[in-house]
Amino acid sequence: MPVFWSLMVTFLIVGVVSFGGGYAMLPIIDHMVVGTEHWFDERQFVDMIALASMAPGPIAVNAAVMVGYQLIGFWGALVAATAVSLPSFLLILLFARTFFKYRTHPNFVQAFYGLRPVIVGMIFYAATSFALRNELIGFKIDWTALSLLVVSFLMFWRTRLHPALILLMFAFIGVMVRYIM
Amino acid sequence: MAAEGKNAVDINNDKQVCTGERAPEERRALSQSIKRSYERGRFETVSVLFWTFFKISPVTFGGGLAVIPVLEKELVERRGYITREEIIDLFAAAQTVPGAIAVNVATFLGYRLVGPLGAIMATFGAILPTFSIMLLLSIFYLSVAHHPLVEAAMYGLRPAIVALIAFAGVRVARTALIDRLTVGIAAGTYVLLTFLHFHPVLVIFLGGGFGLLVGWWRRWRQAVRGKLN
Repeated sequence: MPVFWSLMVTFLIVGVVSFGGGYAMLPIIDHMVVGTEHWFDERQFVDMIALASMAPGPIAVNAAVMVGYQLIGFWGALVAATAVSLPSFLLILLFARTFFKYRTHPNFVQAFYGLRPVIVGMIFYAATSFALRNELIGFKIDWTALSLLVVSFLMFWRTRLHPALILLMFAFIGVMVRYIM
Repeated sequence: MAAEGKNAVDINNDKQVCTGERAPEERRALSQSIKRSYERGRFETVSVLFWTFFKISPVTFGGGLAVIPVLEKELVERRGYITREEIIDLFAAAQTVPGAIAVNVATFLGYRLVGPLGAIMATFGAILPTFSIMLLLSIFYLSVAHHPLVEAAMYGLRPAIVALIAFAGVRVARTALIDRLTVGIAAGTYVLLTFLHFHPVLVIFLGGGFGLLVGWWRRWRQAVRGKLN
């Protein structure tokens, strides 16, 4: 299958199953872009997610644009962004009235009772798999990077600073660490 | 009713309610003017929706719930298009649909206020700035990706990204893990993905299916208990 169609199908699938939005989508994008299609290696993917997190707007659309552009250029970015947004758009258009009617239906509520914890598990899986790839945990540990992880987590948790600002701060710290040490 | 008496016109229903006699030309002209004013109002709503989301999108990092206060200010306080309660309702509905929550809200809101055209324009307004910014960032990143300074910045960014994802997990866990069973589901998901290398899509369907089974079992147990009592 040509890259163009693979890209479209990949992000259509991501768009269909990405409940919980945001970081819950990462394992799916990762599995398909790095694992199945082998378009990028692990480090490249983490770097793309870093940039997608720093930019405004939904991370899924940002990641789609980044992946699409790096593969095919402008048209790749357009196709990926459209494909990731299309399933939910069509679902809402088709079932908008029904959503408000059946949102409190016992079956609907129970399905989400099972889905929400799955999203939690997926987000933590994304975090640990990214940490493993960047030698933050595992057999070979980069202790400087691990200490940056701990400090940044505490900053996200304890300070009222904007996440994008913290990310910028750590980009600057990265430059300092590399050039001082 | 917009006008009382002999020739009342119901603008809300876009119908002319003629209680008296009118010449066909006059009736047609009145019908056309009503239609024009309705279309003008509709066009105004569509453009307001587009520009509202176009303005919101570039300043809301991470999307999702960060959009609520801005939407309230723009569409509730300034325009009076919708109530606060409806916005909260829209957000709840948006979270039940796959995809980015902020984009889903735009689609829902556009559909609720104008219909399919409103949904298209609001969604387009929400995605266009993000798409443009990300495209420029991608172009810039590709041209400097291997620069030593950029690589050094990435060295600091990668651990922070892992921390941000973990923090997002903690925040979701606060609302999602409500009892022992949900904690078990989250742990099971982690095990299936990390050690058994299950496909994430399969895990999502398993989670939804398991939730349904638990619900049916609980209802069945309640029914049995009710009969016994």
